[in-house]
Amino acid sequence: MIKYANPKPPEGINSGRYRPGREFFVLGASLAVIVGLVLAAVFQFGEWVAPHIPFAWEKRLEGPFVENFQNDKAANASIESTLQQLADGLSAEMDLAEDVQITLHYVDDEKVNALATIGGNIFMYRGLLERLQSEEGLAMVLAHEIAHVKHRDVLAALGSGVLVSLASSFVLGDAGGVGDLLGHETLLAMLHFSRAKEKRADLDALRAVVRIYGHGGGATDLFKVFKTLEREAGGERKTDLFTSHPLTPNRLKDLHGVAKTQGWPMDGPRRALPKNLNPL
Amino acid sequence: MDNQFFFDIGWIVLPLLLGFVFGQWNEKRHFASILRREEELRTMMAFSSRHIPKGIEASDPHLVIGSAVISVDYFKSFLAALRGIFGGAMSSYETLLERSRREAILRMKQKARELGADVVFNVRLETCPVFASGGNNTTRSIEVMAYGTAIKAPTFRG
Repeated sequence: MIKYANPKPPEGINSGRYRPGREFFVLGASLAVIVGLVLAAVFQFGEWVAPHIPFAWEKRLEGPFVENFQNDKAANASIESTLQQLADGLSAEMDLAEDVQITLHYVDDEKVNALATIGGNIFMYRGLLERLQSEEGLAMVLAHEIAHVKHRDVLAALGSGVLVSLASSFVLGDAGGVGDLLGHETLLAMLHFSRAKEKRADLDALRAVVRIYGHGGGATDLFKVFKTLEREAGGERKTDLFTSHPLTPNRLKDLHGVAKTQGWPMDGPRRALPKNLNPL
Repeated sequence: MDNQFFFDIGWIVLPLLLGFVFGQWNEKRHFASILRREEELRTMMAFSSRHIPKGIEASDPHLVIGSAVISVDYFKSFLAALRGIFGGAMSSYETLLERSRREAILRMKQKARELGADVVFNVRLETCPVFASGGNNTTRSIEVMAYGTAIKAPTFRG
């Protein structure tokens, strides 16, 4: 006769010694590191490949980016041609590739801003123009944006941005909270690369301004505007981790450091803004 | 930007933390309860064989069912998503399923005891996922149902 029994099986055969916290940290940290490396590779690749893309190709994509800004070309013709002249003078000192063209636009808006977008298009806002006291300061702004065009920064950022979002939607399409966290990591990485580009643009701009005006007073003027703006907005930031640009004091400090080693004076006589640019 | 960033991260980390703390606490308590009740119901034997062996005196067959629905916590599903990328044993779900299976069997045995049965034959387990709602961030639950034929049989009376 069979003897029937249900002996007590030992614990932990199916799920023993499981340490979820440990698994979480090992997997989470590995993924964060891998994604970080992939992001760095993609951004570096964009940075490397963008200057080799013919400018004419980039120019073909500009349509929607330029249309974004409402612009009364007829009313601003005189301002735009003055800005264009200034920009052309600066470009000549900035070793641009032969096929790269700079096109200046004026935006009649109180926003204190200037930006470069696809196809060498640079937008100068009335708000920023009104705050600038000197031609040197304006030249610093324009040269900074020209530097972005020169290095094809917008194209590189756009290209790697598309690549990253495509890759993440394929790999992490339905990873829920994991995907959300990695999205934040991506954002931080993008900002990190953006800050590096801003720093490079600052430096190129200073070099061009010094070549033309003999001193870097324009940078001092420009960052004074930023400092005032930040004070108006309610205090200075303590970290640049979450911003596309480095902190204003650090930008100025970096430029002063370079000026010191190069023997560039950071102050000198200023010219007034060209008359038709002075809204007052 | 700074604050928004921390706010967004907080909305992911907070449920993760809650899930971890309460999920682990719950699991520990549940396993303790399972062990205690398994000891209590040890005399109620259960077998997966379909037929009652020849020569056993059996009477009063009854269908007995025990079922348990247990939800994944946010932490476990997050961990499972990580596992989904790397592959490997999905241990965070293994404990969950083990709890559900043992709970279902316990409830089935409890039912058998209430009916005055001595043993359960032809024990089967069914598993089925229960979704709270569609989408990616769904907290998933699973149901495990254990059923079998309870009989009175003096041979098995503990």
